[in-house]
Amino acid sequence: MASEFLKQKAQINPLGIGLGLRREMAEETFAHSSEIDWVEIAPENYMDTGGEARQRLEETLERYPLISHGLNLSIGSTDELNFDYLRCLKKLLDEMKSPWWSDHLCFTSVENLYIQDLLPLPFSKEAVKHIVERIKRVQDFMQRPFLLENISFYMYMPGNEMPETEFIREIVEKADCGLLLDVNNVIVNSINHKFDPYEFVKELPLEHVLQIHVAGHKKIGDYIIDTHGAAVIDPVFELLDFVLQKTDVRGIMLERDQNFPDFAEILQELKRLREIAAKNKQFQSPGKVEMRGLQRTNLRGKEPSALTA
Amino acid sequence: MPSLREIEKTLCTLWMNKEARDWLRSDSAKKKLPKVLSDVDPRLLEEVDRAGAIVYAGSINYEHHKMADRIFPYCAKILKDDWDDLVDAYYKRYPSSHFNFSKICNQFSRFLLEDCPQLLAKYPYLAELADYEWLELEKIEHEAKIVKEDSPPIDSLEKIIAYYPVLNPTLTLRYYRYPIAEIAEKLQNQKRPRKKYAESECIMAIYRDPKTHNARFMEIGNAVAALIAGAEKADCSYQDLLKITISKIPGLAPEEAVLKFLELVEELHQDNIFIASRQNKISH
Ligand SMILES: [Fe+2]
Repeated sequence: MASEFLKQKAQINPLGIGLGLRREMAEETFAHSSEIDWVEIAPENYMDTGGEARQRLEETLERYPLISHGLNLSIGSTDELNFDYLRCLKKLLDEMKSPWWSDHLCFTSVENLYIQDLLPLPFSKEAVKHIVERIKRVQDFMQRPFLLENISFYMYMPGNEMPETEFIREIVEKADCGLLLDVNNVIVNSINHKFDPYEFVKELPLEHVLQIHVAGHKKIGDYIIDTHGAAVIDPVFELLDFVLQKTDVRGIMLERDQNFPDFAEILQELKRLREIAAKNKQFQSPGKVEMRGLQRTNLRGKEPSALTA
Repeated sequence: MPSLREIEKTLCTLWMNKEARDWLRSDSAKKKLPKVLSDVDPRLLEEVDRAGAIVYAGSINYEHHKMADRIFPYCAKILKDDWDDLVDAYYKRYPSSHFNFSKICNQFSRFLLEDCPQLLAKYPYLAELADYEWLELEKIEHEAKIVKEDSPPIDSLEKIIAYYPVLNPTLTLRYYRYPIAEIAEKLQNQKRPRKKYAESECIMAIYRDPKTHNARFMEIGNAVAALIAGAEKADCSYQDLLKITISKIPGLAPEEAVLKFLELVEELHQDNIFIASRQNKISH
């Protein structure tokens, strides 16, 4: 059966080079719209939220196409799908006119308890079947192209029956959804779990990749941790180059979530992404997708005061 | 082969339950399996990558504590070494059931009131202080849009009769039993509050400022509180509020009372507790 997702992918205009929106970098992000093509947000920070976050969302929408990259869809959870969450997200996506949306191939909740971490799944047939069925229901409800991201993980779960690449391929192809390939996550996992990152990506359904994430990581103890808090290293750029030789994508995006550097460093990394994309003839038909476009604010700043009568 | 559900539940227990985490970190051959894991298929436990599971247990715990530290810095300062255990007990009692991470702490004040009698005997104001700290985040994230409207100043009897106030939609009035404003101010200035405070009512108007987006905490007197509480009722005109003010500040001459009232109304507008004045339907 022909892939509906691949048909949709062919019709989506390329967005180009994007940056994750962080409160700490928002001003600079707004000031450099000539070097940033689009912006990605964590929708949970903006769902049913007013105030500064809301204002930031609106300001972003005035300047950039916006893509939603969620944390708590919990697609791999054995709990019932949370339709309160989905309704809230749908409202936001409609407002953002997001041409696609994404979340992670993981679980973040069990027994109605949200753990607030991206937790790995067993690469099992049962998990494939369960997740495929859930993605189909989610896609029916959301009516917008959906991408799943490969996560970085620090343990293999009990119950594995297949390699991660096969797990991803089975899910993406059977559910007919897109893949958000995080090349940093591949590098992080390849070091922690000792495999060849190039062989890994060759095994993936690369034609389903619509967006790519690039980020930095850090060695903490015995593990390389996906912190999004350091400069992007060369092997990550090189793996990106390799992937772009094999498939065409609609967006490449830099994730920087902590340990914020001088913004010039961010711009430098974005420039390098743009060069790699150009070398591989990505984004050949640039077309701004029509879209409109928040985070938690500083907590302290209270003022016990007057007004006594 | 254990089911996906069993795997997810077991790993979550190992990551999040304190006894299970301790077992994970111990030499399991020697340490007795905690009760919380007694029903788990032993083959599943054998298959768990312990070193990896410890990484997750550490990061999940770290993030949960970081969130509590961020929302309740004053409570943490008061409780010092006892703070971390209290946070663990809270998360055990009220696990996070909302997809928005910051909502994870919304029952903390209630938890102190209902589950921590010994702590409250030592620090009777603690639950109220936790409520005060929680409200800051609640106001910052409050979903309401605060729209300030162009409206005429309320500066005459005619306008008192013809208009009614629009309240800041994020506003909450709190009648604390303890002097929370004083305690919070001490903690903000890096001073330690006294252990004991006598009961002494502290009324606060807590809301988000439309310009700065920060939460504001106004300590107010009885008359202003009555006036704001009156304004919270539907169809309450300035005229009704004037009557409330007169009843709360007895002994004022009528002209003085009107002047005092106009002053108060102006202050409430300046402080963005009132965000607009609209014309009464009936007077028009
Ligand atoms: Fe990512």
